[in-house]
Amino acid sequence: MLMHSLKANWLNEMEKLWVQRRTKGFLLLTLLIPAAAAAAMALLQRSAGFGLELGGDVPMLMLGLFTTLFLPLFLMMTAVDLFTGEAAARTLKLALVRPITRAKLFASKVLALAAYIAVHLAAVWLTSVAAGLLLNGPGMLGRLAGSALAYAVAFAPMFAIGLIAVLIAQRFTSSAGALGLMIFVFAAAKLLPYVLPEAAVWSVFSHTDWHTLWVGDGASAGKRLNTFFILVSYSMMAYMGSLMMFERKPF
Amino acid sequence: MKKKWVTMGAVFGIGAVMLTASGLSAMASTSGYEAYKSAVKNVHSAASMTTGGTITVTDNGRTVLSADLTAKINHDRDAMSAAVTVGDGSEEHTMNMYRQDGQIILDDGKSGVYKRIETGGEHWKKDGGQHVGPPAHAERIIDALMGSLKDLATVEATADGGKLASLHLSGSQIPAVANAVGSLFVSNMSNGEHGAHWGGEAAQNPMHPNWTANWPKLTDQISVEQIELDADINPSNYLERQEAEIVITGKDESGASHEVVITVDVDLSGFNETVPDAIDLTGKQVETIRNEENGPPWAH
Repeated sequence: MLMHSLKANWLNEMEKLWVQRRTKGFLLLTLLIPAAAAAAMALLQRSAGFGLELGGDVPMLMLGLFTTLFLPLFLMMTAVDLFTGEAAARTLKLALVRPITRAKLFASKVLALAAYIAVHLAAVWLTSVAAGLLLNGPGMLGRLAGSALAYAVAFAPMFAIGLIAVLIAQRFTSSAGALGLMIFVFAAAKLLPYVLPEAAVWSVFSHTDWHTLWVGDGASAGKRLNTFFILVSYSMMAYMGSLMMFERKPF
Repeated sequence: MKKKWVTMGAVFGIGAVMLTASGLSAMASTSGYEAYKSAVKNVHSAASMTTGGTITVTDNGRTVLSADLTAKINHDRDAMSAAVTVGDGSEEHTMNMYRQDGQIILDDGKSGVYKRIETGGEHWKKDGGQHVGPPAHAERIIDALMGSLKDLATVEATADGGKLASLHLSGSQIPAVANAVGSLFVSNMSNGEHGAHWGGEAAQNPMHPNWTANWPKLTDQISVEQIELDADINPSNYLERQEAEIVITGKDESGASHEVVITVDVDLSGFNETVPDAIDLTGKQVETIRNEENGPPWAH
């Protein structure tokens, strides 16, 4: 019964996201970008005049692009929709009168965000693998398992960034303000390694490409675990920080 | 009610402690990338050194290109001497180059005529005679662009008290850019106009023999399979030896598979105690080249 309200509201939150035109638009972009990149590569391969085998690189190239840029931006907008947007539209009150605790309401929204990340990662993986198979079939097959693992672990930094966006969203009553600060934080964090390289290890945004550590047998278990702990600790702090604010907020 | 806040605070606190611990441990961990960088910086700071380099290209195990380079460099004296031997697997050819007294002297090893290029001395001292490594901002940009790839570099202690830093990449670990550049390079070296261009030039210019005559003509499924970088760092933290091996596979027109292995092996020694060789031109046939606009490519 207790879990039932969480699950029910999770489905509810996902449906609310899905009916928005923006959600469908971003998902379409997620499907189109790898396809466009593959088409560009096919053109390059053809114009080069000899058989470069670039298709096998499409999944990793796209994962790098999406985890660095597109997914964090999509997540920021989704976090704003889930929290600030609903508070501003005064529809959050409707959810609060239902028989569900605030903690569960919060959890169901975070779960919806997690599902959003999973769907996007899966969509990028499927499109880029399909593109890779079309470009050069046999070369791609041997890389399927490796790229699937890389996409799976990429969930961790994306979830941490999503939660940081949720944290920022709690502070704002206007969507524009929340999104503005998120983009500012994102840009500043991306510039940090160029200005203060020593500080970069502390920033969750410097670990968005940690899937690199999981391809092949490259990195030691200690290194993987270390980065994993950084990502988990950010997620824990952002989740609890947001929840504390969400619990106290007057609606 | 109060219990709830305590729980939330505790989870937040555990997160903070975990972040501090993992952040500090990440900063303290010895990285192969940092070890390599500091050894390279030491090499840049050395006033003189001897560099011995070998480049070998094999196709399915058969040598198609080999080049040996020995260079003695002394920044304080503004002097350098280098000997290059290039072979395509069947023929070998040695050239010598000297930089002394503000001029460059080339000996093609065939004609017996020494070419002298006046450089005016100052040209070489762009940074006021102080030889430094790449500028700090370039280093930061490279670091940032490398991202987590840096973490794939390993370092281990060697028996002599030095270190061995390695970065081994294969398959999907190889960045798409490296794959594209490597594949383009090999197909360029072995295909079409570029091959002919090199050959045509070789006919007129003995300094450029036809390097690529024996390269396989790859036309299909060209990709970089493996990149292995290894660096030996001596106990005084100087880079002593650096080896790079790049494996590129592909098929030629007949559908036969080729594995092209490019190996670059560089030895560094004689730090701060190298004296470059000098050549005495008295009694030798010398041709002076005065070409202000188009100096030697390495003088720019």
